[in-house]
Amino acid sequence: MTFHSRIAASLDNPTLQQALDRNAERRVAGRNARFAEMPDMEAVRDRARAIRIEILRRLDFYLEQFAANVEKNGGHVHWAADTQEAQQIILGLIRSSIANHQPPSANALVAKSKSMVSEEIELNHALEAHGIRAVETDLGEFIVQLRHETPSHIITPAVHLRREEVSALFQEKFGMEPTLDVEAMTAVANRELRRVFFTADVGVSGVNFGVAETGSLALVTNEGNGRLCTTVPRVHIALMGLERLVPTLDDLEIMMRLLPRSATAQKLSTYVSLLTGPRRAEEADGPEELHLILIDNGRARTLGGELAESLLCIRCGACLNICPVFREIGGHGYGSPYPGPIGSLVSPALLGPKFGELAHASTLCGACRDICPVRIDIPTMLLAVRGQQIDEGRGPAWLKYGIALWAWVMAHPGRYALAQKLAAFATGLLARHGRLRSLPPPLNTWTRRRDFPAFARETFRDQWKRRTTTNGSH
Amino acid sequence: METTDDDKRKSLVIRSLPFMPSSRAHILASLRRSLASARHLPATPSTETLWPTGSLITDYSLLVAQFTSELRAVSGTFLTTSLAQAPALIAQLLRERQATAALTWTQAQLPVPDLHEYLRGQGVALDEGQLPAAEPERAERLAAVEKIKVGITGIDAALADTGTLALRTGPGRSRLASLSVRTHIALFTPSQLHASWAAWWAARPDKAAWMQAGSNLALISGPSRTADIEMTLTVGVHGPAEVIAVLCSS
Repeated sequence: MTFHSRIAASLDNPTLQQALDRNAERRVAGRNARFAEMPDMEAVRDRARAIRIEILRRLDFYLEQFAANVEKNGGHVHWAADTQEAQQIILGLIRSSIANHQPPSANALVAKSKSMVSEEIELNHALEAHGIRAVETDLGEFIVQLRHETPSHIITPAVHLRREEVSALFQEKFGMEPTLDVEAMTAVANRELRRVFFTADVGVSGVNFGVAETGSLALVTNEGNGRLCTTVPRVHIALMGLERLVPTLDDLEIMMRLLPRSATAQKLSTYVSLLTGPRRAEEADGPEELHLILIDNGRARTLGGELAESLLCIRCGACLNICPVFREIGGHGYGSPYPGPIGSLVSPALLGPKFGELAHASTLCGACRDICPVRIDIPTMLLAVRGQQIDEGRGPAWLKYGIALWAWVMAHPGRYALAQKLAAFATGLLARHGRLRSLPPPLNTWTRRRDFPAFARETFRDQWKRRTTTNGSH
Repeated sequence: METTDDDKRKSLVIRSLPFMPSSRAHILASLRRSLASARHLPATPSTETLWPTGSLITDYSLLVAQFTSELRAVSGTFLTTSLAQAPALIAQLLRERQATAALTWTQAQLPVPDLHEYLRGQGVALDEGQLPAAEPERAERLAAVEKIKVGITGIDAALADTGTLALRTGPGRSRLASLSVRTHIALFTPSQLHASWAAWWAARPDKAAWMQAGSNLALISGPSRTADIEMTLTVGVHGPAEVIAVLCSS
């Protein structure tokens, strides 16, 4: 499916349109209420931005400090340059974790807690291809996985579905009695997933923040699935993009004032876990092994380029909720695990230039920059991506020649004046009641959905000349 | 010739090992190259922005009032009692839930003296949740622990401005007692109540070393919740459906 056909599919889906509107309104209103009740929220944002900039500017130092501390706490650190290497390492760890099975069992079961980076490296596909069953345990992700779909929102993955669809799914998969009661449906998922938590060989989670000074992994969830995945299975594998650090525990506390308020309009998420190494010998429970996979996958390269600032992102999803384009086309419209305004930067930066076209899905209104808790200048970087698209010859040909023609016209006052006169004359000929119903290609993309107003018969320059001569002076 | 599962397993492990040192060096070198020429990275703000303070409430009765209302706002339950009457209250909570067993921190880790003795006297089976390290014993023990419906723990701090309970693991402090149960009863004393996360950490200058002494710190704000189906709030999805914070004064 092309970008344009995905957009058309989203626009033609009334359920999705309704869900997206409701999501946007509630999330944005909730976020604003949470920010308004804190007197020093602007100072918190400044501080958080400074913390993230400090991390990026000395990322090599903090990464080494962090990795050393994870190891000191008894964890294992694995460095993955790209998707393939990350998959290989994880597969190897899962294989060796079931190698110790007595009696040996054929297939490994993996309990997964929501992780954006696991979508980025397409982990579930890789595991499935090797006969490993990986079950998403976040309720929204669980539903989406059962439907063989991808998440439509980074915070609320099943936002595109109605309760009727979830009910039908659970009736089919688990023989649930027909009901539209959300609590009853949740109870069914709960029963299925509890079995997964308590029989899984390995728990896989993401990481919201790594704390360099202690080597702690901060994990934020509401359902408790994150805690179960990282407590019950004997082996815990944590996946982390290598930029997701803060220097100290004090810095983490500052970030946590912003993340839940921006993401879900909560003062604090129900569970914030700080995982500092595996179970200690004298502790009652917890995983026996902790493996951290530090994933580069283009991040180090991005740091040196025009999209460096996009690495400040804390993945709260606020820019998705506020974006007038996301609100129409939803997460699936973008065709990337990272949708929305920030996704239109992160996707081309990490997943390749073919995602550059996403940068056109923006009105450049700047609402994303205003709502971003760490004030990322998203619109300016969207323009940079568009520029790269044209420079590298990936834009449509008419755009390239169109811009060249425009530049040639604008570079000389005489050409500009002539162009104005031509435009006024031509549109004057074609217009009815001052409006054009249709234009020839490629301009017909404008008139397909709306009229084009004719240019004024008298240009601004002519008007100016007339007024200054009749008034004598200006 | 067909490769056996064992061969595949071995080859995967072996192939993943040599990556590690070289990828680490490669990634760090790539980072340093980028940082040396990072023209587009925003400058570190030149003036140190003021450290935001957060809650400034210090009055004890106001803190209790705030903790209570915030915990209730996230569907938690708040009770007060005295240390002397706490055992009877907890026994009653168990009876109301028809619970004859509890997953609990060891007596030494709880602020209420003689609680275990009292509960055993009431016929409650107490499980301290100690898991063996090796399989299959670990899995067998887990299956038993998983069935227990009520958990009893202490805490390290209660945070008033978010209604949060902070629990760090250590010897005798089961993680599952606050996680796999339906009802989590958390016992604490007045000195453990702080205005906010920031205020708690300001009172704990040794927090980095303290953090590294245990494998897990959980900050818990009310029962487990989800809004993943049509943004309809549902309580008790994977974690406890009930969180009861019991403030025990002397």
